[in-house]
Amino acid sequence: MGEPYPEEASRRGGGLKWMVAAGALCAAFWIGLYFVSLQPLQEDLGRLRAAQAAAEAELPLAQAERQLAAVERDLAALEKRWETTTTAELAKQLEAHSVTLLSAKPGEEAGTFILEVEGSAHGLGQALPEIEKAATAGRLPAVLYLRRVKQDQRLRARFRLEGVGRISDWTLAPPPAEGKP
Amino acid sequence: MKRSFIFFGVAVFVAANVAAGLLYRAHLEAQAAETERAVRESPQARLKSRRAVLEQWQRDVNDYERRAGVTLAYVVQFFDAAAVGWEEIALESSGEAGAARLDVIAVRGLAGTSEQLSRVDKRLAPRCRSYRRSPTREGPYLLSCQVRPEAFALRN
Repeated sequence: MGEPYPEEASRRGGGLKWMVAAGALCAAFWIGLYFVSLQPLQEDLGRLRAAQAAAEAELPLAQAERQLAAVERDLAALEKRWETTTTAELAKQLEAHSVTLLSAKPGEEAGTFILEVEGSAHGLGQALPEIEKAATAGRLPAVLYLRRVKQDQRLRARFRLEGVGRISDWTLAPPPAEGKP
Repeated sequence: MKRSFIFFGVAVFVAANVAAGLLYRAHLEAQAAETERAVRESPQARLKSRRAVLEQWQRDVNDYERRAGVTLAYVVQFFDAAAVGWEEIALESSGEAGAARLDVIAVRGLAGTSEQLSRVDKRLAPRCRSYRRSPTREGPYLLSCQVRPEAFALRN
């Protein structure tokens, strides 16, 4: 008992082969996509949702908002007491002693800054007291104190100064990260 | 005719699977980005970050309001007057109770003749509670001085 229409049978078999191949291709695509992309994304999402739930459990939203308002009030009160300076003002003070301000940028900790300057150690020694000048009574000076100076070993007239204070603009460098004074 | 219909059906099936996979991935990415933004901008996260800023500022202000100890300007001027070179000057806090906010001078890379460095020793050591300088033949010529209370008061 053979196949009555062998041509038809081979056509049916060919169609089936294509369907099996397409199924295998799709399965391979889904498996690849799952391990390469979907699984890491699902893990990230799970971790983020857990963090969100933990934050909410630790401190309910209403309480967090009340505490945030109090912190913002304290920050505003501190800012009111604290003078501020600009990079242009710093450049002027340094320039008076032949020291050039090359760049000013915020440091890693909140309230810190880094100045790159060029000049002589003598000029720097003369200029620094002006930068650290005390504010009027009851107020905090823009630059609280300078705490480190490093000389560039290749260009000996260049120095990197680190200090603590409030600089309101960073015209000689990229803008500060959020929360920096 | 039948064969081309099968090909078309298979092609549509594969394309639909690929599209569904990519759409699902885009949906998950959007959800992850949205959740990340919500976590980052939540009052709890902002509270944490703003409180850290406030605490850091308060520490800096409290430090400032303690006695000054010694200033960087003074140390730079001191070595300039002594014609002694340096690579790095750092002012630090000893952390001792009642100490000035910056009461330790640490200098690296001193450069000068032995006479010049001896003069530095003579002038600086009496103002320090503890004073150390590495011998000039040894690199990198360190100096450390924990200043005496009020030793630099006139200069501040």
